[in-house]
Amino acid sequence: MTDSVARSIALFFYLALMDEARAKASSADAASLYDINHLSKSNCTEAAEVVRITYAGIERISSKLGRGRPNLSTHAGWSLPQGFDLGPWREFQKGAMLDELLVVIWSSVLDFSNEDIAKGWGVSVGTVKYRLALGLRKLGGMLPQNKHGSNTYLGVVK
Amino acid sequence: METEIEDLRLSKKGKREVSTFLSLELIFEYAMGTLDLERQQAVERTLSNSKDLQSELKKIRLAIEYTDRLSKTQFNNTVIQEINSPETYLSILLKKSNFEKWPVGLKWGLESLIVVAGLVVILTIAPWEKALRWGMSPNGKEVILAEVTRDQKIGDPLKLKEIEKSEPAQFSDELPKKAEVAVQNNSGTTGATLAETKALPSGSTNEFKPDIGTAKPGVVAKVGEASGAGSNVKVGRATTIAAQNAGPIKADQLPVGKVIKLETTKPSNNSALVQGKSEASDKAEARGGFLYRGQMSITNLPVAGPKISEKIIEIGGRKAGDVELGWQKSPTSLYYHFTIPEAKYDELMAFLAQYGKPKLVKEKHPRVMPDGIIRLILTTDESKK
Repeated sequence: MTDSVARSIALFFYLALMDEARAKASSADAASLYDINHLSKSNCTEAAEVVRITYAGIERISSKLGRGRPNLSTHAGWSLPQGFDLGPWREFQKGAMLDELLVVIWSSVLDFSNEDIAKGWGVSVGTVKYRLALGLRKLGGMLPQNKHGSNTYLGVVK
Repeated sequence: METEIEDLRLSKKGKREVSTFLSLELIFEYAMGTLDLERQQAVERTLSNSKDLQSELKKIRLAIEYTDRLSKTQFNNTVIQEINSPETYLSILLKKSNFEKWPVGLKWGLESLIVVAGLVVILTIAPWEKALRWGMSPNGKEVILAEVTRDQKIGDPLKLKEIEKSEPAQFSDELPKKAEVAVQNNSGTTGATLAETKALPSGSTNEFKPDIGTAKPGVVAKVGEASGAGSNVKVGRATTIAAQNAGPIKADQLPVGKVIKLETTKPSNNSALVQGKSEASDKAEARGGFLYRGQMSITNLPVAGPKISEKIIEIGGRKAGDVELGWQKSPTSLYYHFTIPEAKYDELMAFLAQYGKPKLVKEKHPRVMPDGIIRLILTTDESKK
């Protein structure tokens, strides 16, 4: 497994679970499921395989998934961009539907194509787009905006 | 293409219009830039008239920018390595056995069983006897009963005096019948003071040889390392605490170049010891301690006396009482109260035989000496010609 794949898996679980210990454990579990042979057999891309194993990992712990109780520290081996506010993401992780959360991470954060997501997830591309649109709208609604309609952390939009 | 467009229902102005509802569905595609030009223009026209649509578009764009920044999150190499590292046997075992899916009671039972097994192993292996002995042993109660120096030469009076001065009294001297010097009671330091006031038995003129290797229960010998050949062999420190486990040590088996330490128990009450009939001494008496007591007549005592002292030191003897070896008991009498390794008894007797005929009696005594060590009280008198 390449470092980029490992990073994608780690980032997915960190953002999906917001719990360092569980994210590490789930990442390790998912990494063990990563099968290079499966790539050649199923003729799918690396991104699709990552989607498949991360979704399997989430499915496995979905019953114990306690969203809304973040357990993260900035000294846990990951560093956010300078001045980045994780508050809106916490709100989104807590309030969004699981499908919306996952597809936003896969598509917008990990930058996987809709086709890869659809293939790895086992749904149609239209479903991916639909879930992604809903998720992004929801996340955008949670971002802080000033009275002029722009969010504070991105600066004023004229 | 043109015919297809002509077939579409257009507005009065001849433009293709989309409803707000449809625009709302298309707004994501519009934000992503995946709409065809005509639909894009149609959505833009709707967008210019609808604040709701504008708001939705803004949300999507903000979210995209936000997630773009979030995607720049960095991870340490350690995290990546942890994820990349192969699984341990334990994790594989847990995974294969579906440990997580086991009933809670079974899991707890197994875990408690492991904990109990660990405790049992620790309790079994732990050296409790040593720990107890450590807690009960007195600090610094070390009594050196005998010391053998390989390379010590006879006729070194300075060394002899140094040794005598540096060594504290181990046992009280027997008070001579007409002693002019009061012997101080040293029971507070060693707890081994059992002052004897018995006179030498009149009929005790038989010569005895020590029983080498006689088992003396109640004594434990510890052997530690010493440095190099020619180092001192110290025999001392009798511990009566963990006595029962000790095996006998023969004096001729004493290791050269090793230090043998024996510990004595700290007396809990000095007065009880002075009485000489304490419970411990009663037990010792029951087990049978011995003392070699005797006298000999020597011609030219002032010359022979120091040589006897030197010989005693040479063979590893140590003064046992308060007074020095060869203490001038009277103008014509010297007093030796000392301990020596049992194996050296014959050598001492042979040496003494050069100056006269030693007469020693083996008496019962409440004090039990460590295995391989004997205690002697010898009085030498100037022979009357």
